[in-house]
Amino acid sequence: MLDDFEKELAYCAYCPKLCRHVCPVGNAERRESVIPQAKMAMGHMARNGTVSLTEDYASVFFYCNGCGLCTEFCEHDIPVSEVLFEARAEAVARGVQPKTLQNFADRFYARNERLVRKLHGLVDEHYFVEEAQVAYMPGCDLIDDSPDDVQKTLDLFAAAGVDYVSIMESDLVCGGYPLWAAGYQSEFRHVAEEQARRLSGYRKVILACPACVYTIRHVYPKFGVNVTAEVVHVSEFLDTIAHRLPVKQTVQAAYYHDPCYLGRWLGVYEPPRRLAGLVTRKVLEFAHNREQADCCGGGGLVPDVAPQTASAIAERRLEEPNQAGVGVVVTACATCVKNLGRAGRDMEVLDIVSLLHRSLE
Amino acid sequence: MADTISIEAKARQLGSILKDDQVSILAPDRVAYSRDLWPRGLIEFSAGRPAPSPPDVVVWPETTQDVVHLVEWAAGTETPLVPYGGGSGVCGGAMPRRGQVVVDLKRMDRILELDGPNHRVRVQPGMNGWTFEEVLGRSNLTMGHFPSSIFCSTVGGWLAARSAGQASTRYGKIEDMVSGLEVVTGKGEVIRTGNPGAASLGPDWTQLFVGSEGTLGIITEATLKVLPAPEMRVYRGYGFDRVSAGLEAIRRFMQKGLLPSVVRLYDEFDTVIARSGAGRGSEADTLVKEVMGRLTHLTKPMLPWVKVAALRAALSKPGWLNKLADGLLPKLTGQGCLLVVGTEGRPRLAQAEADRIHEEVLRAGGRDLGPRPGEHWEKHRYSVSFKQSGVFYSGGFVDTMEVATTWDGLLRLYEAVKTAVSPLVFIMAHFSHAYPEGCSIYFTFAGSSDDPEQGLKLYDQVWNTALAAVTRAGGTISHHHGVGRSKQAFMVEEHGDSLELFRMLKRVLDPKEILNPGKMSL
Repeated sequence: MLDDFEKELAYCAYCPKLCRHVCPVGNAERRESVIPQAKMAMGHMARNGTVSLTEDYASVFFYCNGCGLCTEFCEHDIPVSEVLFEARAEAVARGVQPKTLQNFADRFYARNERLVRKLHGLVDEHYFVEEAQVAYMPGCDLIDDSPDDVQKTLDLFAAAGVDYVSIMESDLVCGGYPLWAAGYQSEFRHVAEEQARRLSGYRKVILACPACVYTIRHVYPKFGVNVTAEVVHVSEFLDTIAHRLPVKQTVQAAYYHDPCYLGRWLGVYEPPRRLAGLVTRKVLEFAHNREQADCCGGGGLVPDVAPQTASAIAERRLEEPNQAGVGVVVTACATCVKNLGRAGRDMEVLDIVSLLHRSLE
Repeated sequence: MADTISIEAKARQLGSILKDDQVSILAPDRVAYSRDLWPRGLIEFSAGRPAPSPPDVVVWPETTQDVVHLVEWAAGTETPLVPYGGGSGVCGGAMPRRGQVVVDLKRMDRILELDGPNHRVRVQPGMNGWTFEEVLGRSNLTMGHFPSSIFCSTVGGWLAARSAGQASTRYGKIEDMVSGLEVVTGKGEVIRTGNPGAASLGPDWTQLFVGSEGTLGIITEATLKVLPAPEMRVYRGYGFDRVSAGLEAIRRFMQKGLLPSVVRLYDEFDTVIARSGAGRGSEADTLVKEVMGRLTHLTKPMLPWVKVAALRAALSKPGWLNKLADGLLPKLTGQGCLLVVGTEGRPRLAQAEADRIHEEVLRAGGRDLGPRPGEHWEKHRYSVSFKQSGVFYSGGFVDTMEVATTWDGLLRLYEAVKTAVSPLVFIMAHFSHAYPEGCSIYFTFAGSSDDPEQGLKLYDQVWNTALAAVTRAGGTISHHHGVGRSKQAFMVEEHGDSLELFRMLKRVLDPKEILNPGKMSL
């Protein structure tokens, strides 16, 4: 098992815990067994047979947001979350994944079906055009938890004079990131192949979910699946039409939170900031921003496995705007909005789409 | 009595004292807490024994009162407690044994009060070092404490082990920065030490607990001094033909009352490491991987192997390597020894101090190398620790030993240790943490053997040989890493009759011997 990562696992196992201070899960749990070094050491031990991969041992693999901050900090560039996601697949293959992720694929498909129906109820049917060249794919968490943002996104396109984007007509609203993160690799491969076939009918697809942009661009190819369409995040697309957006500055100050998959994994830092700047007098930076940005706690299925940990991570992230007395945090990811929003009772956490829409003239 | 209680029963009893999520007997937790960063534990790990003696239970107190309840339970059941911060110690001080309970203090990690006007901060022991400095930095303050473990160590661990940072020459060690503690003794009493200012009220009880490695009490809060963050740093490098000349330069400027933040004199081989490419510097001496890279480059005809094989093969011939380092390499490189000096603070003062040191160093025969060696060091000051993995992955081991003595015995101590262990392992050193009266020597040694069991024997032999050499040469066996398990056999030689005083204190403060037993020769 994990033979492709023998060196990475060993390097982390022998490391003097040099990235523990940046791991969101480690910092929230303050438990030695879930710092990156220890999680990888467990993988190393499971790989060489020193311990057998029981549910207890396997559980630590699932205490990872996939945020990549440990890798950013590592002078060996060890892709910890990638290795841990692979270890999760091993756990799933042996049936020792956490109980909350049992039958995860079934629940994924059930949720997908529900969200397909919900999406059709959110916007008018005329937005679904089969022959379109450019499609908009809102993604699971946006449809589920920020449903108004779907219409708001379409309103922004229209306000900028963009009439060639349709909503992707599909029975699959997700790129499959949750399956990949859960370690359900065969199901993920199936979804990737199906989704690739649908995406390839378009010239360009605009996604609201940074994790799925990353998954389609960078994980699909590792599974031998390639997509011919250009896949971009909605902030990247809006940035190209921002000059035509009739918006004005209506917000005094807001912190911008970098979503991990949009920022560190895809390198998209400036477009959402430029968009926020169109409608915000002061776009404030967290002390840890861009490549060093802290996670919101929502990634990697941590909210499914350890919801209190995910909340603690979000609360920690919101300490800074709370202390500064700034009541608005804007980001560019529905998962971040959801997880930060749950923790920020007195904080308005909203997607860049929502912020822009509010300021439409 | 502790051994008669099952693990599950202990967990149940502790669960009645603490909340459920504050107690664990899960296998991954018990394995993760079974060792700290003592390299001997890593050799055992490489031998397929990741947790030779895991604790029975791990607990996470969240308040001082939680700690009191834990200690009372432990005293009642005679169950040893092992305080645990970042688990970054390198002497086995936080390593538990079977039957014991690890007390992880990282959930007590808040700054309780940042007292700006009085330049003090009250902080809980589980605060991470790097996070602490970041928070202080937002108020333009600093502790001035930058151990190479700063990313993973905690304030409590610093205090428990009498830690030193890279800027200790200016700011002092942690014992110079602490003005008060809250400690829970082995009897469950909460003792608060320290006064608002300097006091003439008998012994300093704060210092009683600093460096006691959790054997006399569990630290639950500390009051520390903070200083303005420096507005400017000035670095300068100097070359010397010999270590002795560099040491003389340091002695001269330290005895003039100057207080640089950084003073690092690398011996001939260490200089090659310190001045070479990215990722090196600081305690880079450690970095046998770099060493080997450099050796491979410089002695290509002699060392045709590469990477792992080269490293293992070379480390298996330490005598040859050391001779090469001592004789051939300096001639090949012509570099001699490198001294890096840094000053910091208000711009004019930092510059004036740098200028004055510059004069002294040149007068002592140093060659000015400009600011780059120091800037290089600052950029890579923590990089060295990343290199440990490569050495262990290659089948070798690496460790460091920090000793100290007065100026008149420094060279003798340096030579004694090198001579004693050179036949066994590859060894190099730098001199740092300087004082008017003496200096610390930071040795790095690396070795290899055919299998981990032999590696353990070699490792133990090296430490026994090295510490005996230190004691014979009149040095102190630990400047800032502490004692833990690894050095406790030498506590008698180090303390003499004073060790009995320590043992008496232990009997008074921890009569049931439940606090971190089996450490520090107690």
